[in-house]
Amino acid sequence: MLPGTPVSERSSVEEELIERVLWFLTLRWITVAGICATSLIACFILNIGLPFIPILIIAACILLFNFVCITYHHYIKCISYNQYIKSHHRFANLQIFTDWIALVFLVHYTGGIESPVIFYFIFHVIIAAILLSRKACYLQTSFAVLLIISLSILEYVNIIPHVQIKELFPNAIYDNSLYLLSVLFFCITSLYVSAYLATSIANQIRKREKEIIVLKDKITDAYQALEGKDREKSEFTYKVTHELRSPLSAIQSLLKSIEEGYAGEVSEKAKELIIRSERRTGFLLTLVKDLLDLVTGKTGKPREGDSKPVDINEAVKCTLDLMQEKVKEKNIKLTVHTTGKPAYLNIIPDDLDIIMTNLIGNAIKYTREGGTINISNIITDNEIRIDISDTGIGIHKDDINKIFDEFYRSQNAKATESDGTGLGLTIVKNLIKRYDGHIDVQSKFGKGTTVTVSFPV
Amino acid sequence: MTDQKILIIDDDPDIVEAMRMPLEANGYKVITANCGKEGLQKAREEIPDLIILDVMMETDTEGFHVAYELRSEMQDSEYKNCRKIPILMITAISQKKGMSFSPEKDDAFLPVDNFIEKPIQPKELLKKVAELVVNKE
Repeated sequence: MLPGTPVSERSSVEEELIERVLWFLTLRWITVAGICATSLIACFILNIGLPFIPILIIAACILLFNFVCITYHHYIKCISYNQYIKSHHRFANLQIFTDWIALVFLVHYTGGIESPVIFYFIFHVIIAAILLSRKACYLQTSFAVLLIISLSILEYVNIIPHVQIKELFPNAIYDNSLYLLSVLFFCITSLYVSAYLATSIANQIRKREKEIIVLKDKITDAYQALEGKDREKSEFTYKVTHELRSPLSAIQSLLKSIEEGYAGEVSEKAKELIIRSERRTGFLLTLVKDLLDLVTGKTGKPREGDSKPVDINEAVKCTLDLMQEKVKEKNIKLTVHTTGKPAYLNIIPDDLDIIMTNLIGNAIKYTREGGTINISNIITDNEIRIDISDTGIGIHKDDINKIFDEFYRSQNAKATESDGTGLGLTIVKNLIKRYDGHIDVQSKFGKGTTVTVSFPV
Repeated sequence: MTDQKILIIDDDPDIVEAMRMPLEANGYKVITANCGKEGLQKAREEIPDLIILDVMMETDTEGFHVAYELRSEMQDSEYKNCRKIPILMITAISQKKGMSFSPEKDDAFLPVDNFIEKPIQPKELLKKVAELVVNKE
């Protein structure tokens, strides 16, 4: 990543230059239209005696020049990208240079030093500051100053005939040396001050831009490094939990055989202790299973199996079948509203199974005896939704934002059910996110909880 | 009550032991093999009444290969006498139950007759074993 940094920094700044050059080209079309419109209004509405034909010729020349520029731009773009980027500084310089000349002609035909068009020199100073380096901007400004001084002196000494716009200045003042000097003084100082102000701002912006680009790269690097670390951590967790699973299964299996008396008579006390041990290993096995579910996907390994259309009604039914015993044991009133027609969701069946088992499992786990659980499946034009609401212990409003955190269990959940890894909802949320779905939890402490899961279809 | 022979193919001696105890207590004769190769050899020699087969042994899918080998339809298969032996496959938790694959639906895909999950519950094991052995007869 590091060797790439200067390249991206450079290319990003260069790309911006290209963008601005294109913007400059567009601006020129508008300028031509402006010249034509202004001269038309001046000639035919305000009846100012402008030399209309030379002005139109200048406009036509600018038009032609802009066509050439655009053609050149496309031509050089096709040749090579590097060349394209390199040529843009020169290209921008050339354009400003040509514009000055067109502008000086325009100034000449609209009254020379008396022309109000002279103010327009300031625009190009600002454009030069935006497009070029500070030095190039000052050079361009000096060139403009030279053009203005040359024009006014040549008109003053009558080497170039002065164009008098009588409607503006009934008496010529271009040959008034004091006027000439003062106009030149203010014109030149305003051009240089503009150049100074504009380049200062432009340079500062450029500096900031470079800093931002460097920062952006640093953040990207840091993010990638973090992602790598997280993946390593997940891979490690995956390996460790995988290794834990076999011995735990063996312990659990052996304990079960002893408990059921296959290894000879077991005293009541021993049996009780074995059952306790079994419960603890059972918890560890759940933890291992949850951890595996949690890190699958984080390790970059896709879960085994392919997405296929699964009917959510069927999925809910399957999950409930497996949990029937618990529902009966706690005497929970269970109602299920299925969609009229099968509602197919494209998902890896195991993933939907994990989501359903966790959510419905939680509803059953945290609903008191004799409580109610409602499950409704809803299908609309753009989503499939599953609402699971219970009259269970609820979630405190301080806990509601934390329940998706890894290993988090709320106080009342711990008090109700000692066993639980605090990973179920994290797993569910990760899985739902993988399918661009959404999970929302509404709860009233002590009253009940509604979990809404929706997937786009 | 029965002298039916059950072959357990599993590389974890503790799981084997945990299954052996309830099976022997119920009168089954248990023979064991700790890898796929040994399992295939014993299946051919002993022609057991049931094979209990673990999925993950040396490789993650060794059990599947053993099952395919035993059920091979090839005319000259070494194991053609084993084709009819029912197979009970052991899967680990989260390898997983129910919806993803089941013996009814995926018979062609995975040529086994039923599954049992680790950790082994003796009652469930005995129930499944009894069903498969009866079905065979």
